[in-house]
Amino acid sequence: MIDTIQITEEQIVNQALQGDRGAFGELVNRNYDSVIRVVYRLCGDMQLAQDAAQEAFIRAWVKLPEYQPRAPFRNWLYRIAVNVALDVLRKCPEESIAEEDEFIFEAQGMPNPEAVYLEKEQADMMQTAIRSLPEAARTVLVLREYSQLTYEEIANVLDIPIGTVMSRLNYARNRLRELLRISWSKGV
Amino acid sequence: MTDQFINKLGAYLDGELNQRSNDQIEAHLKTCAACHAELAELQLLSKQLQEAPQPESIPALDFKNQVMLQLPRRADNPDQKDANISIFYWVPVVILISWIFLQIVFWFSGETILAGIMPQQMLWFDIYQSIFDGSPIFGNLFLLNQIDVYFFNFVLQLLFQAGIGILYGAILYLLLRNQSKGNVFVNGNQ
Repeated sequence: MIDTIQITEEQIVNQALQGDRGAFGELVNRNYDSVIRVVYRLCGDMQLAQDAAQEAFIRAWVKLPEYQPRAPFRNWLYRIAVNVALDVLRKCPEESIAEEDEFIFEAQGMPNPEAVYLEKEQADMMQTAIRSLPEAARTVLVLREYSQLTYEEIANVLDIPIGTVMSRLNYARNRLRELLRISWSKGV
Repeated sequence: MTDQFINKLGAYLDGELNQRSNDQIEAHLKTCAACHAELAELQLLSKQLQEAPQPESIPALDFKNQVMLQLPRRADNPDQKDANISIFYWVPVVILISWIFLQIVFWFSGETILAGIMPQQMLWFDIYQSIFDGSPIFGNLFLLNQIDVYFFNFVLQLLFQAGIGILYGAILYLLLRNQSKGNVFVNGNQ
């Protein structure tokens, strides 16, 4: 059993490299939330995102001997997850992606049903806007906004120059602002 | 002038500018209302993106269990795998060198590797006789009379060796293909 407090991620990766499946399970446990967040924003569908995340972790296990500890394990995992998510999206017809996922909000902090409705509407609108971005710009935006990677880290994850990261990010933000300006003018 | 700053506002917001550019932007923001409004919009966008709720996903523990159930057997140590593959690449070279050596030895000794298939002969002796011996005309005539046999032997051996090469290549291809497939056994146990 792995002591999650005392053992660093590097040590767990080393154990997993030796074939310790339990150690890899711990890596899955630690990185699940961040991977699913990125993959969901790329796919726009939670069921697809879960399938893609699962496939990403399986690929990570198989390719683990290729992992170079120069970069954080999580960033390496993002690279795999992004590729899998984009593969899944390319294979999956647009119309089969769920228009609206079932949102389950915490009851606390939601003063009334109207607030719940507004929140859901805003979430849908945001996700639709993100999904309408071109693949390259969407990926850079998601890695920046939902995993807080630096430009250099994004460049490493996607194997592109930092200048390209900046230009894609600028494009994505400008495009999103254009799309969301109408809702902002309505005060949503 | 403003465009130059506007393009850098995203990087400024992300804390990606160097100190000099950062100071320039901050000084410009104090005097430019357009850039100020642009920055405010970028901040609002970033806030909305990060606060946009996402649907509930399955709990981490359940997800982990699902992944663990489907975890395939991982490939062997890559170094070991490379070593195994390099053996396959060296074997044909060793066989080819041995084969050429044996061919030369047996050919010039008047023996043939495929006893019974190819007729025995002493080619090197015939050639020597035809050139250096006292009866060159007889030797040359002998060679000319036998040229069909030599040609037949040559083609036969060429085909035989090409056959061996193709057979080995096919076996090697199948072995390597099976090896690359065998690295991952879905639902297998380690």
